Parts: sequence; C-alpha cells; structure tokens
Amino acid sequence: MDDETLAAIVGRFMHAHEAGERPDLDAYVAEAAEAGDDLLAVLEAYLMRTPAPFDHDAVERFAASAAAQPSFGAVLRAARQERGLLRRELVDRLVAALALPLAARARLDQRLHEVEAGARSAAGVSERLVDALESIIGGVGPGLRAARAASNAPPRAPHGGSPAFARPASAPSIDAVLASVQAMGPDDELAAEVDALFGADPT
Amino acid sequence: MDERPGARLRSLAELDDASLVARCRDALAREPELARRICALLWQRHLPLVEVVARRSLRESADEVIADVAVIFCAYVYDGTKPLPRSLPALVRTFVKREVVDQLRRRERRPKSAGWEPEEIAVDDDPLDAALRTERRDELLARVDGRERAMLGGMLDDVPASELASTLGMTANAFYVAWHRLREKLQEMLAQGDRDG
Repeated sequence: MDDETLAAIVGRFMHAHEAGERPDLDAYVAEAAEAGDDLLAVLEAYLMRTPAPFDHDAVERFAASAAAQPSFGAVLRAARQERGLLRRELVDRLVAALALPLAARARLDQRLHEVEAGARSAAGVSERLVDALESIIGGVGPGLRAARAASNAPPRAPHGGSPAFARPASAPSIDAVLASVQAMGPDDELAAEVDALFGADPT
Repeated sequence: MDERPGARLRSLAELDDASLVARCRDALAREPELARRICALLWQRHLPLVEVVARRSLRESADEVIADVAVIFCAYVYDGTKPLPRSLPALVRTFVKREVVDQLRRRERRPKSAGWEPEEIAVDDDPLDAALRTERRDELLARVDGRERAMLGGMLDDVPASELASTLGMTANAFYVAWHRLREKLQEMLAQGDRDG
C-alpha cells in the first residue's frame, strides 16, 4: 500500500475521531491489511496527540462501571492526605476512638496498612471501624462505604489486573472469625477484636 | 455533583490531563462521585489510544487487555502517592504494553512480570523517544534533511501537528504518515549507531 492510500485511510479515521464518533478499528485494520503495522503505528502517533472529544454519555457509562470504583484504600489515603494526617497519627486516633488498649495498636496499624495498600480486601471492614474513621475524618464515611460495597462485587477484570493493583478476592466469613476466637487466650482475644474490625481471619 | 453534572463535566473537560488527575484526587475523599466522573473523563479521552496500542501490541482483538488496563488506569488516577503525569498518553501506552506482556505470560502459564510502579515509567519507555531526550537528539537532527528536521524539531517542541503540516504544505493525515516514516528512519539510524558502537 502506498503512502497516499494509507494517508487517505488515516484521514477518514481522523475525521471520524475528531467528530466524536468511535471509528471501527477492526474495519480500518482490515482495509489497511496490506500496510501491515503502518496504519496502527500512524494512528498511535496521532492519538498520542489527539485525545477523544468529550462524550458525556461515554463518561457516565464508564463512571458507573466497577472499574471506575475507587478502592477503600484509595479513598482513605485521599482523606488522610486532605487532612494532612499521617497514617501513624490516624492509627493513634483510631485506638482512642475505638477505646482499644495500646497493646492493640501494632495490630491495628498492620491491618489498616494492608487494607490501604490493597493487600487485604475491604469487603469485611466493619461498620464500627468506618464510624470511627468518619469521627476522625468527617465526611469520608459515604465514600468508604461505597468502596467497601464495591469490594463485595465480583472481580472486575478477568485476571485481576497488574500485581501492583491486585486485590484479594474476599474476606473470611464472620462465622470463621468467631469460631477461631473460641480457642484464644487474652492476647489472642485482643488480636481477634482488631481483626474483627477488618473482617479478618485472626492469624 | 451539582444539579447540572453535565455542565460541570463539560467545564472540567477543558482542563489538561495533569490538572484533571489532581482535581480527581482532591475530590476523592469528599466527592467520590465527582472523582469517578473525572477518572471516567480521562479514560474516555484516551480510550482510542488504549485500543490502538493494545491492538498493535497483541495483533488481535484486545478486549481483555483493555478491561485490565481500565482497572490499572483508575488505580493510578486515584492514587495520590503517585506523581502527576508529565504525559498521560505516554503512561497509558506503557500501561497497555505491560499488560499485554502479562497477558502473554498468562497464556504461556509463566509468572507475571515483577511488580512495577507508574513513577518508574512516568515519561515513556519507547527507545526512540528516550534517545530523543538525550544528546543523541542533536546527532539525529544533524543526519536528516531540512524538511525532516523541521518535522522532528516541531514534534519534539510540541508544536501542534496541524500547524507543522500547514507549514510544510501537507494535510494533517499525510503529515502523520510522513512522521511515521521519519520515525522508522530514525529508529534505523539508532539501531545502526548501536550496532556500530
């Protein structure tokens, strides 16, 4: 395929893209099959510099999708940063707000870090913990509850996305947590109380 | 959102990528619905690029990659610990390429690539683009003709392609094809230089 023909195909794609249409990429690729990788390379260079025009309906559709739901950790981190609260300061205030003994602090810190970093599902985070967070960072409750609810949704991507953003599938049931509490000593009971805030299996 | 979310979004759509990412992160704690819409606005803006890069990298329909990249993209946009993008398209392109690699590894039942963080690739990982940010830029500029030098210099200085095309007496679509050919030539020069040490 000569460059003039390729340019004509590219021109049609550009016209449709800039008009706010969604050009059918498969059709363009089929039409320019003879050009090999050239069409997609040219379109990539073009799209690097030419974002799609605003499309309100498409934005609303994606905003309503599970992929656009911020994680519990992202909301909590944003709230902390907005208030200029370090995580250790938040943990200190949570210990007080939850009337926990100081001995529970390290466990609480660890669990909160796991949830904030996405290493532990927020699906089991208790209402007691969300209330305590809300009492410290006013206004964050609705966002945290929405993010927690989304954590209960089925996985959003078939293979869970990049490891940097991977999230565990689910938290253990409350029955499993309670059952494991049955056989515990005083320290274990404290750990279990903290873990129950996160719906976590005491370990 | 206020009572006219469409108008508010339309107004936000005037902002550049970095400003929108910052606005999204600011809104996340108190206005999560607004944050979601801003994130969606950014995704909608760059989805055609995601589709083309995925298609180009995978050489087949790439819906699964695109779904995974959407999750990665949103996690980046919401994450206030990550730097604001110097070039969101470059970052998006890298997200796609990394995800394609991971998907191919999954097909071969090989372990995923090591974890990576967006700040590591905040500019671009294209070898030619990387070379053009170094002293090799002058070397390459010296080896092309005047017309190509105008094209390359203009693109590196972020002159709008339509303006460059007009200056060079070309249509915008012909300009992008010529730009692609020039990049091929530069890549070959770069490879030749590497071979010659």
